[in-house]
Amino acid sequence: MYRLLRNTHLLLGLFFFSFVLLYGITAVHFAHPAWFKGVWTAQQTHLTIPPSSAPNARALARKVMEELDRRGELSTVEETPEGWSLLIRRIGTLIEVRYDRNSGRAEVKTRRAPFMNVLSWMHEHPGISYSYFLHNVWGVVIALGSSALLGLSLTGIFLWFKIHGERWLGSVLLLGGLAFGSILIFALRTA
Amino acid sequence: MTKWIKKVHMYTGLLNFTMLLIFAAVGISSTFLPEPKQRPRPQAQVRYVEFASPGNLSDRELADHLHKTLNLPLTRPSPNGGIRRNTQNELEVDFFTPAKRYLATILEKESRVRIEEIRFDTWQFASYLHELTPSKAAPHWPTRLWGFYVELSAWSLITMALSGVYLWASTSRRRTRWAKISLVAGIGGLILFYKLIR
Repeated sequence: MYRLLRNTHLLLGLFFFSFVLLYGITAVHFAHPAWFKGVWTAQQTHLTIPPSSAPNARALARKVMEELDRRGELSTVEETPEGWSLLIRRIGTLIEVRYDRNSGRAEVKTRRAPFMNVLSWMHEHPGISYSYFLHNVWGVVIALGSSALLGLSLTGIFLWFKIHGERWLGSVLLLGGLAFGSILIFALRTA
Repeated sequence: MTKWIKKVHMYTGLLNFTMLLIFAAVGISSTFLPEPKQRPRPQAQVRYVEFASPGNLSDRELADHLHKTLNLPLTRPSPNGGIRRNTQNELEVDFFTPAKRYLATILEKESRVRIEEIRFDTWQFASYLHELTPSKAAPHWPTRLWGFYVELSAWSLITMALSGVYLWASTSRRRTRWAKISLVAGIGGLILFYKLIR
């Protein structure tokens, strides 16, 4: 049993090392955004798409992505007097499209986030019901990584408990952390 | 050296056990639950409070004055995005705590405020808890302390990840084939995903 759990802790920890590190670093990024410098880049271009090829916003989004070799999913659609204003998103990239139905002209602005913002975007992008395949892949990774974190925590407790010389101080830290957390959760929930 | 790093790894995990459970629970639940906006909205509790609106204040100033007057527990002044005029031109202001949202509407003609108190479900509460860093916390002791605990846990994740790899690399188990494969596959997978998404 001990050997199995020790190996589980080791293999889970090593496989999800980069995932846990990513979550730790991006949590620090959320807490201290000013510590991390980065600049969004923007690229602007235009296309001509005949209205017959874009009978609706979804078709327009698909056409823009095809023409410009972009990927992502349609996020928001706004009807404008001239046509549509669309936002296509994927983690780290925003594609804004302004389409004029009369002229068939589509102004496309692609904005790309800097490195740290992409990692933070990954941090807060859970879920598996997106229309863009890679977003769902990442949602599965988050679910697996979070389950691994649970597994690492529980196996870690077991492994610590097997070290007799560490039980006293370890118990103080574990119970102290649990008591501290529980009191605060109670205070925050009931205020 | 290894002995001390092992202690750091272990103690950090024990001290942050509560938060690790919350991080894991939020990660798992946010994968499968619909977004809060798409979940059924809980029943709001409505009450009215006398409030005389002082004249010559901007919406921002009025919202801040309202915040001071109401003194709702565990709230901080509303961000700009939480201040707006409704279709009757009444000022609506959102105040948040980790556990609930207060929607305050100033009814100037009636000299009072309508306060809707909307309590979050358990998962939304946990989600708020996990992202409550000191910079986002209201200036009250439970939120401040919790904010520090979240930040400590963020640093602890980094510490545990790095010390864990060090511990593996400093023992004979570094030669274990499956361990090497796990580490390389995990890092490689993340780099590959980053490349694909860019």
